[in-house]
This record gives sequence, structure tokens and C-alpha cells, in this order.
Amino acid sequence: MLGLIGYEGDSVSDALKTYADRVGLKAVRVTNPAAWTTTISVPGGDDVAMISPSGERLTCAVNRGLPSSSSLTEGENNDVLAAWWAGLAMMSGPVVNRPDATGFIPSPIVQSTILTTDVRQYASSLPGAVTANVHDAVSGTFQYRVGAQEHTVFAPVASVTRFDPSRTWRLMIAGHELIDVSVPTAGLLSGERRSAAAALRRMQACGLVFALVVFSRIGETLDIVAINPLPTLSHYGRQQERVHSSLLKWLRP
Amino acid sequence: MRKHGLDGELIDLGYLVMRGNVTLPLNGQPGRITLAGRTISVEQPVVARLIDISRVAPTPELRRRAEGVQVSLARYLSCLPWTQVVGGTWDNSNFSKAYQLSCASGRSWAVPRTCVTNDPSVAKAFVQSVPTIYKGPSSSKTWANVMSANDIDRLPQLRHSPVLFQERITGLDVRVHVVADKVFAEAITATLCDYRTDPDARFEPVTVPSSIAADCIDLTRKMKLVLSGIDFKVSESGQWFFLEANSAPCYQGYDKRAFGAISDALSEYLRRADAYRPT
Repeated sequence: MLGLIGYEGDSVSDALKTYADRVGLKAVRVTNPAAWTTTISVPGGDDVAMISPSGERLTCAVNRGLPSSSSLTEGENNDVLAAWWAGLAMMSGPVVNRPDATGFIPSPIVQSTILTTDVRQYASSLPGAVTANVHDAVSGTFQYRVGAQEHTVFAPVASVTRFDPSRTWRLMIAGHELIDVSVPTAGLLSGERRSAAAALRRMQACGLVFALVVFSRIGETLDIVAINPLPTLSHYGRQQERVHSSLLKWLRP
Repeated sequence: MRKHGLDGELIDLGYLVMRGNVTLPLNGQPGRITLAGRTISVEQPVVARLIDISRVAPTPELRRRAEGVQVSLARYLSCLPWTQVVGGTWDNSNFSKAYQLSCASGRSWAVPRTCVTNDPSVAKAFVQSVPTIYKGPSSSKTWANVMSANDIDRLPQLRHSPVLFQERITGLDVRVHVVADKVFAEAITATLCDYRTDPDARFEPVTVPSSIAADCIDLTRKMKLVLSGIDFKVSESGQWFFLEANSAPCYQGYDKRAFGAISDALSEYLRRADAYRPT
């Protein structure tokens, strides 16, 4: 059975459940992991059993973050997370966003990003044609776009990424497929698309199978400016059917 | 470090949160810290001890700022070559003890039979099959306890959150500190299950078998760490059992008893960090 792990109201998990039901793939939303029965045994085969309240066993999963329970203490929630970390990391079936040593949801580093407490000073140093998106460095929540809006930064530490909106390409990695979701698609040369696709194939080979990746050409260089392993429906809505089909095909080989 | 002629900037995390600014690129270039009117370039090598101070921040604003600064520093440090960072932040595997045990399996040491579960019947079968200790499965601080008859009666309470049950190994506790390619080990004799709670615990240097030492060094490298603290139990028959690898060990007491050998090794490493190439 496929587990769609994510908070109540996670529209992607809900949409994947709807799609799975439609194509006859048994799936369950995991919104209260503390109610599940988890057993992880080490060593010798690394046995994992993650059983739903109705008695069904998880065999594969889409991990979009483990909901915590308000009825548990922080320590107890940590214990549940630690168990699910081990369970999903060691599960023999396919797992989207499989936990590893770096984190419960591995987050690739975007090298073109700057983390700063002084956004104003950094933004003022940008050349005219280039803008930047500003996000909260902790939550990842979008704050504003330099030049397009007022400097209203609420995040004490911001993640700032330069890009050129007229030379940007957005791609979804979904299972074995790479799906262009650029709005609009413009400005990138075919050679750049090939090198971008090669970079994405390398990410797929390293286990990134469901993510939004954004490329932008700044000057002569094509940079990755965003890698989001928790894309929302707004990122790929126009290609939703194709993205979900490809992802579930990967989960059910 | 000063005793060894090493110079550097000491940056207090709390002071940085309250009074400073950071600008940290994630492309491996030096970051910048501004503090007390000075701008400090974050040059490699770096020694870091990132402790979550947000919990003790006096205001919600400072709490958010502390979280942001810590997350940003951790992310920045993970972009630097790991050989240039003491106190590296790449590996968080010890948050989940069962996961880390799984990663550490298949080496010259053994791994105790371990079961993380919130199923009372599974737990009961386990504790009835081997002498057992139990502790929390995450890095949230808990003490290890020997399973008793009273504890078996309490197993139905497991439903609320999982517990780590582990085969009890009777024998010496050994803490091994690894600094790059050097190993420092101390055996601890204690009467209580968790020696950290035993005021009468005795400590003495111990020699580590070469295969165990080599695997400690290799595991530390795989975790992309320069410094680690690895806990073992050595059974009465001499078999070494891996318990846990700590990426931010509190090594001061061990260092003091070793007459500063761990600090000496760290200082020597920092002096030649540019040239270090793991084999």
C-alpha cells in the first residue's frame, strides 16, 4: 500500500490520493503517524513494518513531511519522527524523499543562493537587469521579489537567489520523466536545455524523483536557481495529470 | 589552539544573533560575518559548535533570528569541503538511533539486536527473548534503563510513542574519539546501566583493535566528520558492539584525562587541514 505522508490540507498529497483511487492503486493519507504501529529491527535484514490503524502495511511512500501530534510532547513527537526516519530510510519499496543521513527530507543545496540577515544591502548590489527572489531561510516561504515589490522582509534571515525572469526554465522531475512546466517557455537555447536535462538526470540517479527545478541564465552562465522537493500544485498544475501519472508509475513499477 | 600557535576568530553564537549580521554564499566562497563594527571573513578551516540556542531566546524575535542564523550557518558549513570543518553539519543520522545502527552495520564490530516499536506485543516478544535495555529512539536526551518486570507491565503504554529496545551487552563501555586518522579510546567501568549517571564510574585508557580503529576512522569519514565520538560496549568475551556515533561529542572530560591528547590532535589537524587528504 502506498502511504501519502503529509500534513492535513497538503493539496499535493490529497491530489495524489484522488489520482491513485482513480487508477486503482491502493493508497492512504498519513496525517497522524502517531496512530500507526511502527516496528524497525536491526540488524539482520533490517526489518520494517509500518502498519495503519486499519491494519494495512506500507510498502511504498511519498514523504512530504511528518505531521506532529498536538497530544504528544515534543520528546514523544521526536521519537515518532525518529522511528519514521528509520522506517522510511530502510523500507525496501520505493520512497519519494527517502530520509538519509542529511535529513528526514533531503534538501539539495542550490549553490547560487546567498543566506543573509541584510537583504537590503545585498539587493542594492544587484545589477539592473537581474532580480532576485527572497525567501525565509528557515521555512522557505516566499517573501518578495527584489525590484517588483517593496522591501518588506519579515524573515530575520533570508535566502536570496538571483535570476533573470526572461531567461528561466522550470522543470518537474516526476519519476523517470522530466516535464517542462515553464510559464512561459522562453529564452533558453537548445544546447542549454540539453545540459540542464543532463543535470536533472544526475539528480534523478541520486534519488530525486519528485521536485521542481528552476534554471536561469545570468550572463553567460546557466544556473540552477531552485530545487524544491516539496512542490505545490501551483508549480505544475497545468501538467498535473502527466506529473501524477509518471510519479505513480515510478512508485508501482 | 592558542597554546599551539593557532590564531583565529572566536565568534559567540548568542552575541552574533543579538548584534551581528551574516552573509553566507552556498557556492563554497567565504562567508561574511559583521560583528561589533568589524567584518570577518569566514575562512577555512572552521571549528563550529552549533547548539540550538533559540529555545532560550528572551523574545520571539530573537528566537526566530537564532533559528535562522543557526540553520543558515549549518547549511553554509555543509557546502564547505568537510575536511575543512570541525563540527561538521552534514550528518544528522544520530537523530534516529535505529537508522544510524543500520548504517553502521556490516563492519568489524557487531551491532546489538535492536527493535524500535510502539507495538506492545512485539516489544514483549523481544524483551522475553534477550536481556534488554530500553531508551528513546531519537537524539532527545534519555537515559538507558535495564528492562524489569515492572517495565513489562507498562508495555501497553507504548502505543503513544515508540521506544528503542536493545539486547543488553554486559561488559565495558568504551568511548572512542576520532580526529581525522587518529583514535583515542577510554574504557569506562560502571555499576549503573548508563555510566553517565554513575558518579563512581572509573575511566582508563584502552587499546582499540586495529580493525575497530580502522572502521571508526572510515565511518567518521563516511559521515563527513573530522571529529566524532563513538560509543561501544565490549562484551565479556571481547566482542565489540557499536552503540552510537556522535557528530558533536562533548569530549572535554575525556580530553582532560588524556592530558589534552584530543585537543592536541585537533590543533595539529587544523594546522595542516589544507593538506589533509583522506586515504
